[in-house]
Amino acid sequence: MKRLSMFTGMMSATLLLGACEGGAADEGGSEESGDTAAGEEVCDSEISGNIESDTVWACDHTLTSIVTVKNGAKLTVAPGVTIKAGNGTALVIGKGSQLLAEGTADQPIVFTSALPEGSRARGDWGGLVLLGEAPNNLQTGTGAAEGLDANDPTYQYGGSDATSSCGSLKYVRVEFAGFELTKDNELNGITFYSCGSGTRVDYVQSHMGADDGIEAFGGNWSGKHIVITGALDDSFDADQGYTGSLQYVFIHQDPATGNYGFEWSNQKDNLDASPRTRPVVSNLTFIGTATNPGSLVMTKSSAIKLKEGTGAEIHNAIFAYSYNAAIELTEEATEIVADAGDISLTDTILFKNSLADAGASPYKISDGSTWDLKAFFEDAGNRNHIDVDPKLGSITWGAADIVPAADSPALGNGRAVAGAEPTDFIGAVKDASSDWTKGWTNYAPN
Amino acid sequence: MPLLDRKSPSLLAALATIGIGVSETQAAGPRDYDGPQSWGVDGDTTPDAPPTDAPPTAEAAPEAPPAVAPPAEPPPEDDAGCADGDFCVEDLTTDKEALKKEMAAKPVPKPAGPIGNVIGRMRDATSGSPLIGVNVTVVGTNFKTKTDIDGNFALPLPPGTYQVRIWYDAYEGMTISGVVVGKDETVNVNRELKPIAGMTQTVAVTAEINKESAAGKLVERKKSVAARDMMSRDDIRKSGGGATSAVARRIVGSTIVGDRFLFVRGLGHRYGNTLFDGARLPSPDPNLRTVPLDIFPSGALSAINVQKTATPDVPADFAGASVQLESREAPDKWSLQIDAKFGINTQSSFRSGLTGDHFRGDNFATGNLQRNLSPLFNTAAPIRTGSTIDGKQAFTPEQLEKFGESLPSLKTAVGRRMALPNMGGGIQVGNTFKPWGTRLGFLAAVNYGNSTQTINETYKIYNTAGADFALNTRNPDVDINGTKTTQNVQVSSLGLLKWRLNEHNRLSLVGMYTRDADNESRVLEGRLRTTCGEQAYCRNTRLRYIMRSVAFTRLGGKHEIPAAKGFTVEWFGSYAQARQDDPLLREMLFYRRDDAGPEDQNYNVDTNESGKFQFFRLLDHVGSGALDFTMPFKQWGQLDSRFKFGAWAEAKRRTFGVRTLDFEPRGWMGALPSGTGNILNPSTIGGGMPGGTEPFVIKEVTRPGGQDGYAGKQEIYAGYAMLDLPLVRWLRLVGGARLEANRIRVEPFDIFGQPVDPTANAQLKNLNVLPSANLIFAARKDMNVRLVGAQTVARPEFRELAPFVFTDFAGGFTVQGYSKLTQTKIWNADLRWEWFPSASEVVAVSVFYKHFESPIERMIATSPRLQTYRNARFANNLGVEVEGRKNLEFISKSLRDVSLGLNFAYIFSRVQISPPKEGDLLAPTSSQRYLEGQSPYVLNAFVGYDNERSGTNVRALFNTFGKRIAFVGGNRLPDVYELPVHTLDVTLSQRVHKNLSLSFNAFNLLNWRQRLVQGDNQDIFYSTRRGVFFVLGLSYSI
Repeated sequence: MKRLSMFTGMMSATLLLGACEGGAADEGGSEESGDTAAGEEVCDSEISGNIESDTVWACDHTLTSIVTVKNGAKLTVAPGVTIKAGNGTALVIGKGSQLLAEGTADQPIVFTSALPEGSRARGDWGGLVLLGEAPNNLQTGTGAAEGLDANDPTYQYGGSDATSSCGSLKYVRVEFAGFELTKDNELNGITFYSCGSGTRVDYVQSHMGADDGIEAFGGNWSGKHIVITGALDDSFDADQGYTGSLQYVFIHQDPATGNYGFEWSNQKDNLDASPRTRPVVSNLTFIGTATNPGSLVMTKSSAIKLKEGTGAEIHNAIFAYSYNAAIELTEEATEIVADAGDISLTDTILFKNSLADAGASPYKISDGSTWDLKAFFEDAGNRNHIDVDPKLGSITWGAADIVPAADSPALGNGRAVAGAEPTDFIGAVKDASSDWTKGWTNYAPN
Repeated sequence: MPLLDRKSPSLLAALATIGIGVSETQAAGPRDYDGPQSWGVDGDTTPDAPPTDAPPTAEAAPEAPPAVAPPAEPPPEDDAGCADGDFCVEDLTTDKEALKKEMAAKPVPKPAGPIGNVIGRMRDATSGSPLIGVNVTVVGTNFKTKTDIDGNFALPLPPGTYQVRIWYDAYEGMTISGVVVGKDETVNVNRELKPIAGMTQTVAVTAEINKESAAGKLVERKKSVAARDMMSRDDIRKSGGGATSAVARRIVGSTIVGDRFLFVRGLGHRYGNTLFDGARLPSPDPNLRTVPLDIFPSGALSAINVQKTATPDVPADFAGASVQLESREAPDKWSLQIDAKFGINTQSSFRSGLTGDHFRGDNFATGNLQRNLSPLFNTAAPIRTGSTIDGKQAFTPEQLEKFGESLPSLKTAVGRRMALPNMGGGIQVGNTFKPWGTRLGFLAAVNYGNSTQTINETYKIYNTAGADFALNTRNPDVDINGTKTTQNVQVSSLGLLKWRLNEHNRLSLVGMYTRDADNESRVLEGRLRTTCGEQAYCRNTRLRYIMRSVAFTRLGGKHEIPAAKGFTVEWFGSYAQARQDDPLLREMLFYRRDDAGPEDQNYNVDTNESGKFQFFRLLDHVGSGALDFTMPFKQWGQLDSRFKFGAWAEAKRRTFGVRTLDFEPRGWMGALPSGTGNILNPSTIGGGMPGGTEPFVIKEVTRPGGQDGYAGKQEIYAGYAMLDLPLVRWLRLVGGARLEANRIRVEPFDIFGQPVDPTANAQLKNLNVLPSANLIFAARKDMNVRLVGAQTVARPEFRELAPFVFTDFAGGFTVQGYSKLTQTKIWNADLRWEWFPSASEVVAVSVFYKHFESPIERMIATSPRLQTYRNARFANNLGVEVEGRKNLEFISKSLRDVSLGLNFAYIFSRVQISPPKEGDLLAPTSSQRYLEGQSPYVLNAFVGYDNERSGTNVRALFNTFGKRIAFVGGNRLPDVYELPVHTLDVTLSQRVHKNLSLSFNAFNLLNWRQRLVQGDNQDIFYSTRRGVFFVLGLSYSI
């Protein structure tokens, strides 16, 4: 095995360096600038350093360092490719560059741990980081990605191009990510930093990710068919002015750990920063950690956290089995946003939440606040369904089946949501024949 | 505006020309130069006579043959202000005024008719320093004189045979019989006087009465080429308890920071250097370039010289001050001194403090040895499940479990224990032998100190909010309070060997080893909303043990070549090794939900930030050497002049690395142990196999790109030439230039051979020509006006260039270097007027200007939460400095023992920032501000009572400084200011017996709160206070 030097900042060529097999290391190829001919690709290569020109990965590879796509380069990954990644690695798509990873249901693209199946765990590698040029609501408009060198402008995000694109992810799984690149500062499964509306996200799973499953800092990308399983902390975290829409989302927390299904914040330091964080989620199924009432593990698990002035739209959703409150809404600024109509939670089923105290406190607000979250949520106009069993197929961790039974109240009670595909059901999946979560996903915990 | 820049070498050329031109003139006799900077002599020291008929000077006249002469009584006391016969400082070091009075107002009666001359030079027998104002009288006549400030005298006499009596306070007098003076002949009577033991308040250091006395230092300062301030051994001792740093407060414009560091003119660490007998001394603290004063054994120093303006013969990397520590002289005869100290701190001693587990050697600063990783941990790959070697998993679960359980300690719980009082002691011995007619003196000292300090701290970190970027004080990211108990153990030893081969050749060997360790236990509690959750109350604990040591050795020599008319060669070579060993830092983070009960057991471990075990190791090798040549000569007007040139070389190597061994619940499905106890133990540490029963598994965290370590290399090569040339009797020019070639390289490295990021390599290469010129105008005998212009530099430290990352507490700032820093060039101008009304009094006023090109500033930002460094574009400082030291005898004779002193420096500073670069998230927020670290004012004042008869000394010292920027805020964050801290110290010492003295000191009496604040409303960023210290000391000496 051969390994060439990393961080070749000046080298504008593919970094498919060295070869595991065949020995033909293509010394010349790596020096060439411009387009990378597919023929130069050596399968099962160790990949490291920067990618500064358009590159195609048509076969499996292993990341051995932080790999950064920059200078506007496009990284294309072919269907069926599995990219394994070791400790200390991550795939970072810099501002202006794109990741084009479009698999198929039969041939998903997988970014996973380099360890053998059965011994994998969260944090085996860093994760997927996409840095975009769309607006966020940071005061300075620009931020530095967590866990990467804050002194290096390569790892900054944010801009003014709302229609820009970080690329396209289709039938993509990102597994066992979240390696702590710097202590106290870990990445997430997939982090979208200010990715614009040009970004395409469809059929994407973040599995066993640390710290969060998917996090969106600013930007306005939208997506469909999203599965987030086993996130260490929050499953979907939105912050800094994210305003995209997600439809068909399945979240399943590991019974041992997990914080919020949704943790949405406008901006922690400026609760009225603009644009206001306001994700629109429709057709969601959330299963919390408290799926085994016989042996409850104390976790931070809670379904929804709306805080720091965020807006929110959640429709046609199921939230079930959270250890703590189903909905937390904190800070006066968020209450004001809610009163102004920028938080809308409709056609939603709550079932077996707040199991820590046997369902006594499904709603949580700031200390000292008298704002009536219960009344807000349970207002008849919202058509929400409280303590109604959605009758899902199986809530077993690692073997979930979220198809509702034929007599489930989830069926027929959904309503069309502006901007989304019109549906008549609540939850991510309508029936077995249309269960889009099957086939391309992975629920194995290790 | 630069005064001089490297592109105009005309000054240098001119100096060189003059140097060559005048070096051919007749050189004067040998001179003693009292150290690398104090060799200069004012141009007004020759007797008051026209240059044309100046008395001939020493030309190796033969020793007068003995002749018969009647014994004579010592001559009567003259009128030099010591009528009451008591010990008298003024007489001891007779200043210029007295000299003038003696020599000009009452000139030596010139004998009628033919004359001869007796000339000579008086020196201290131990140190070789010239003695000033030594009385020289001819027994039975009215002929008498005193030595000048170079120790020289000249006495014209009618031909004859005389008995010459030489006497001097605190020294053994002597009578030289049979001095035969022939017509037009010159007789040389060079002598060395031996100090009388026990004559002075500085009991154990009588040999240094001249050089080390306060008055002696004033004389030295008056003579000095550069603007400088000095603290003598007198001062050091009078401060009580050997606290070097306490006395240094009194240096003009100085501030003592953190009780250890000396800042001058309100400039911070960056703008000082520290030399020990001229050699580079590494700081044991890798983040700093200044050396903490408290690492020196109390008996080690004879003086602290603070040079504020550059001369070519001093390393040019300073702008505030070059702090030059002088090792003390060996005592003349057997001496033994034993000190003991006992002290308390009002908020620590006998109070409950925090504590962790204890290791063997903790009380001798060797506890680090027990905390180091065993050789088992010398692995080829990071110790974690995912590690691979040649594509295969590197460690089995069983191996990982063994690693986890083999750490030096798994105890993370912080307990409580009553703190003992502070204790310390020292012993030093010294003597001088006389083998083969030479003098070989030695001094050995050992000191030990053990103290415990508990402080309560508040940390807050705010982000900015709103359109006006106001501080978000309503919702801080970090809002924690805590307690930290630090036990400091310090062991230091010093050996000095000073060998005077003969009058012209001296060698000295110094060895020093200091080692100190901080054993720290800390608990911080509060909100860390971005780290352990908005709703959670968090508890961050840390146990840490930092050992720092410096081993330093220096061999130096000084050789005067009489045959070459006093040509002097001085040289030294030094080697130092500095270590910082910081093993087994153990950090845990727990969270408690608001709705959970208050008991300890409701804490849950935050697995992201917990179980962090870190091992840091730093090793520095520093070598320096210098060779200096001094060539005295007479200029056209027969005034003493000097040409000095030399070379300097310095090399420094550093290796630094950290290993972070973390624990994570890998693949764990069940509940984690709760509570804040030792939750990591053999029954909870496993190998991470799915389905296991032990949740935690070791996981080594390695940062990418070599961020866990760095290697630093620095070389400095310098050469200089300078000329000390009196133009006329009252105007002297000292100038020259120093050429410094410097190279610094810092490269990240990874102990496992993982790829490092070459873009993080830092390399600085600079070749600087640094001219300097001092114009000294001796307006009167007791008055100088100095005009100085000099160029100096400041260079980033290795740490400031390294990508290494450290976080002080969970949620705190990540401290990281910046590889693109550049050196700072500084243009200094200084105009100083100084008046020495008497030997122990001074009035001085300076105006100074400094222009910093690309000064380095310490910055913070909260998004990203980073503390790092950046070069500003430039900064200008304009300052005024006033000093007065006055004896109150002028009010009443009864107040003769009382003196007052005041130092005040006011500095106006403005920084110019480069326009922010695209995407620089650390662009400074404010542009109209002071340079980081620069105080607008610094004030020191003291009242002292010194009664030599009763052996009583009382001093009250007050120090304060104006609010200064501690961190420049970046990315819209406001700057962080440190508010003034007012300090009052009182020291008392009393001689209770000839050999025994007692001291009582109270430090930090005001117990002022140290506060760092941020924003328009001065919101707290950090706050603490240290309590009041009381120290009782006992010193016995024979």
